Amino acid sequence: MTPADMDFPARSRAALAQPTLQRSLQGMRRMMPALRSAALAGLPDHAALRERARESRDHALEHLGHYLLEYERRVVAAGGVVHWARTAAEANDIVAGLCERAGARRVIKSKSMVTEEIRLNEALEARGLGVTETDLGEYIIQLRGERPSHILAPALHLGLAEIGATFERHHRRERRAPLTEAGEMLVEARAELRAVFQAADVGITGANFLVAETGAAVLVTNEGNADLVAALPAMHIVVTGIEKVVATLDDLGVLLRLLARSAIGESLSSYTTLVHGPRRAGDAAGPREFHVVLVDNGRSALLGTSRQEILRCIRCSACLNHCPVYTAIGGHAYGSVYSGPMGAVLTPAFEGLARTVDLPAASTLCGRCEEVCPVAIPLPRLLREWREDALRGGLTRPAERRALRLWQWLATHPVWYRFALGAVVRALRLMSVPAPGGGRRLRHLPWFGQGWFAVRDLPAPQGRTFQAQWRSREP
Amino acid sequence: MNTARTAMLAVIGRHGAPPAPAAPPVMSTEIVWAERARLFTAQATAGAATVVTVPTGAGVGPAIADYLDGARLGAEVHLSAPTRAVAGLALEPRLSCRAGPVPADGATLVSGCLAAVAAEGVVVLASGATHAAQAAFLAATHIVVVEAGQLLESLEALWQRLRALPAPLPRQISLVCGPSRTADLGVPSRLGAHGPLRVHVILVGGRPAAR
Repeated sequence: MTPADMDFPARSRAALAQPTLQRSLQGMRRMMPALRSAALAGLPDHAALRERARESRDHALEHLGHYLLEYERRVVAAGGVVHWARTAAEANDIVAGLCERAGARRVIKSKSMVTEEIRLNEALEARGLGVTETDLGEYIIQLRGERPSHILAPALHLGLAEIGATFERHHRRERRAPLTEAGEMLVEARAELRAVFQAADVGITGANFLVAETGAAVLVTNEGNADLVAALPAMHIVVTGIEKVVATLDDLGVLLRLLARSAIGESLSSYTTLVHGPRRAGDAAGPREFHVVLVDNGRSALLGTSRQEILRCIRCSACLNHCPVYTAIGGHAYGSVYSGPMGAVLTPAFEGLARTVDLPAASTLCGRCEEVCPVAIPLPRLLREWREDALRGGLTRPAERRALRLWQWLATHPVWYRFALGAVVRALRLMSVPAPGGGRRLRHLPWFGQGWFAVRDLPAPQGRTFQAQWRSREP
Repeated sequence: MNTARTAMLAVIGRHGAPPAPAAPPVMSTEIVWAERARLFTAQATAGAATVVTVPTGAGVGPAIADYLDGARLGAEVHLSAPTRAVAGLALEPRLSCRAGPVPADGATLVSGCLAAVAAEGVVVLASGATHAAQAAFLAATHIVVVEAGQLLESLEALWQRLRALPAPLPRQISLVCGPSRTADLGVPSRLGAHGPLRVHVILVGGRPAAR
């Protein structure tokens, strides 16, 4: 059974049983929140900067048509061409058409979630083009025929042993010893990809931002691969979502200050590159053709709705890195290109709620995602909206609906509520066991509790309900 | 009141003459530069770049030669985006300067830049007639020379500088804050993923002669 055939609970169970993935996620839980906090603490006024970032994204979205036209005007003035694609199929046709017209055979790419979303690689390969991903993580999963498990670290689910074995299988070279050391793997991948870079006919990148003021497509990487993809081939194509546009360079500066700090806990990524059109007359080098494909694919349908706020997202992945659900099961369990809280909000909008009804449910609504979001997207509210839609649309499981009806009845009958809750609290207290660090914890429960306690435990109730304690408080 | 005014001005007297026209006092450029250089160095070093300062353009050649000697990288360098201090390197006896595109991996590139931003610790490279964007990514070692007037305080100052350029802006403008690196092979990050393994910045300034 492949992940695509499984449902969300089955994929989650599979993820919980993968030791390599679990080790990576454990590392993420331990490191990423501390790195992000330390990086943001270096800013003089993080709260004000975040508010300014939210405003600049909202402003661009409120005037999206204006800024996209402004961006297009600048790109055309610099000698580039802007294409508009309503759907994934239209976008893929445009890119494939450009490659075919250029007589291209070899395409190189830098990491782009939009091209994952529209499945551009499959579309190009179906037309006989060779496509090579150049971001190291994307390259590794491309060799393995897998999908990204994190929007920034696509090979997060793999350990060094698996990566070494993958390189041994795909890189033709004489070996005296197995490939086990990360430094050697990097040298090998660098050499393999250098040859691919030099031979490519077309380079495809995404864009982290588009700047209407100057017509810039902004590429942010630590590896520098996007810069080579943009510089070396004779044609550069940018494929990106319509929501990526910002009004001015000043807006860009605000968002750049937050992006890398939120994403990886550093003040800026190694490379931030602004691309304006093709090479100029007299330039030493650079592509002769420059194209931008603006992809809608469900985005414009969110404009003017209560879900428009998700379009502020700058794909920093802070919400994934801080999510108790994502950091337990990783990205593949979500079964979609975008995972974690932002993915659970975005995917139902793109793929329909009927197919993705489990994703908004895969959240404890603890609120950390909203707290750490650099553009203050109210992710818990948006997740709850999808849940309400699912309930209204009859998409939830019958057992879930029955449980909610029972809860509703209890919650509206205070006497029964107090009686039932008091009984449950006492029963849970009786079933708890002393914990090594002091206090008591619940380790097992019969019936439906078995699934919950298979992979976690809970602190035991103190013995009395909140209401009982409130009534007996000192005046 | 008028009596008091007259009496006081009679005492103040000769201090009441208007001043001769003169420029208002400004912060010395050396102090401003030194503060920016300190901030730049802290930020760029955090991004795994190395930074040295030299007082005038004449110090750039020896500084590069010393760096290459220390890292055992040979004496051969390729020049790109030649600002005044970079162009002057052709006369440095301890360096062997090459023109033309950066060849195979392992090369050392010495380039000028469009600007550097102290608050972020980045150097800013712009493609054009004398600089191919890929040069800074194909080289294994990139040495960037930042002249005194190019060291800006913030990203906002950089945007102002870009706005002052004729439209359209250069094809590829890169803000570089250190060597190429990747975390895709686990933690800690490894340097030299696609681009340079080493980024070394030489800040020229601090003395009026640099202007």
